[in-house]
Amino acid sequence: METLRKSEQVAYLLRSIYEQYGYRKFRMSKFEEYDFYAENKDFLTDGQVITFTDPSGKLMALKPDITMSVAKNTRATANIPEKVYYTESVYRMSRETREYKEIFQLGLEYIGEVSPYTNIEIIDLALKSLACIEPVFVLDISHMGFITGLFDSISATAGAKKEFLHCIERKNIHELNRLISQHKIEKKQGYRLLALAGISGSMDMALKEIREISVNQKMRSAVAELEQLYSVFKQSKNSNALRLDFSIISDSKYYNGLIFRGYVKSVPRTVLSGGRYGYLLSRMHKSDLQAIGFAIYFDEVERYLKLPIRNGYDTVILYDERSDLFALHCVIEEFVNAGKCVCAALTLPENSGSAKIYRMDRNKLLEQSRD
Amino acid sequence: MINIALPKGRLGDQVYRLFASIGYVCRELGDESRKLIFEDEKTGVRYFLVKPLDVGIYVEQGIADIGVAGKDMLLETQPDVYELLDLGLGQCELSVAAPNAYQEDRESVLRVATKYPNIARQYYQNRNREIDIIKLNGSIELAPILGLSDVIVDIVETGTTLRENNLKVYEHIAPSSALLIANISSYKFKQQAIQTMLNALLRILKP
Repeated sequence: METLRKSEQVAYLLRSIYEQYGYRKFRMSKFEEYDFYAENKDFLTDGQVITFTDPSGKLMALKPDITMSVAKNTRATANIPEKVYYTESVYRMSRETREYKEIFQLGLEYIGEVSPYTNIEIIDLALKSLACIEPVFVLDISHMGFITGLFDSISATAGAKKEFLHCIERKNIHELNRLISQHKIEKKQGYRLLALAGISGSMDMALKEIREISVNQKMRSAVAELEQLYSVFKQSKNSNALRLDFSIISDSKYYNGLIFRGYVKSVPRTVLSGGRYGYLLSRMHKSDLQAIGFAIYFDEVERYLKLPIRNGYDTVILYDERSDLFALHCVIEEFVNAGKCVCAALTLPENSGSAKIYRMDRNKLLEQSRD
Repeated sequence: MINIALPKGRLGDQVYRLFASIGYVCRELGDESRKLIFEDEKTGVRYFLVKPLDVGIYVEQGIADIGVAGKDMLLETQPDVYELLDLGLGQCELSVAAPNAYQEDRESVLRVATKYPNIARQYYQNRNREIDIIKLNGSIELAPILGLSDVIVDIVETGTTLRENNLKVYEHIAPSSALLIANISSYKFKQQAIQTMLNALLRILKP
């Protein structure tokens, strides 16, 4: 395990956790027919897909998203849920460089009837996953039902609502204030928007605040769901890592309930993102099913959580044409079994700075000085 | 330690004076020098001076926990950051400007000179107007005078430069001023330090 890269170690750990909770690995092909994405383009974060023509002339695409394929291929029914995880590469346009990038993703999906317990299990696994990446972490939680409920209670044009949402996403309270007066929003409604943007912190306080600004059934049932969820985690050691934060407004076309994002201390961006998605399944004519899941962005983890590079070797064994090959082989095996990192070479390799150097003289191993 | 990215130049100096007045002093920074990183162990701050257009990137990438950037720069580069506070400094207006005698010809493609290509593209896209963008890096006002473009998209502070060059504001795009921005992850893990600073700023910025 120690010789693996940090991201590989994390991937192994996570897989064993998911397996223990009854999730099974979902393996799939790297390609999908392009038509599938053309039909469901609005569910992709950005519409760009790498396409190619297969030998039979069909237009194919390299997968830009895994969840869509899981949803399409699921065998779950309302009574028998499907619990899966995947470790796959997806191919997307990088926002910064505007070039295609291969991104390694590890994710987990639950498809079937989503019960209050399912929410708990998924949030718990998200917390456990973050803990595997780094001990200091935060999981921000939000609820699309609450946000849409609050926006239903505000009389403004769709364009104005979009601007409000953008401010909430950026925690930009001054701009939100300006927009509220610009669009002549009624005082109580404006207050609710500002409260939503200002919430960020411990669940206890934040739940109280959102209960107070709830004015319709949608909002109240979302609050009840969040309270139910928190009542379980309140007692656990991770309760501080859970925060309510409505700045994580994900695509409302995709998510329709609980949404969440995870952060760890050394990575400046989101490392885990997920939530409850129903619209995707109803688009695929599986309206009786619901789903919840999350994905971990391994490229972010890999970029920031590097282990010290193992520079060079512990042991170098120099040999020449007269060395006894059998003896050489045995000696190397011995070193490897003792946990050493060994390099057998004809001449002294680079990166052998602190290595102990031996020479294979016929069938005898001799220690050699550096000069 | 809290890492702060400031824009090089006049705005950066103003912001530093504001931050120093609430205790985020860094003794080295007042000196005339060419250094770009300034650290004060006692007050626990580290300042970087970077190009105004790059502040958003430094903060988005988490090199700086917080930074100060003009709204115009943020609209142009669209970094994924929190915009926590309007500092009220560096106020200006993103505008479309044109020669005094300019009359828009709706039938031809509009030639727009700007150093804000993304803002200009977005603005005209929302108006279904076809444009050609001419990206310049300075002296934008020159472009319509010499016939390089029909109009310019630029920031206007007092309007003096425009007047002196026989130009006028033709349309307003958006107001801009300096915003305090924060890295999304730093905001979670250094929330207390960032909130303390925010509260101190709110106290002195209140009119």
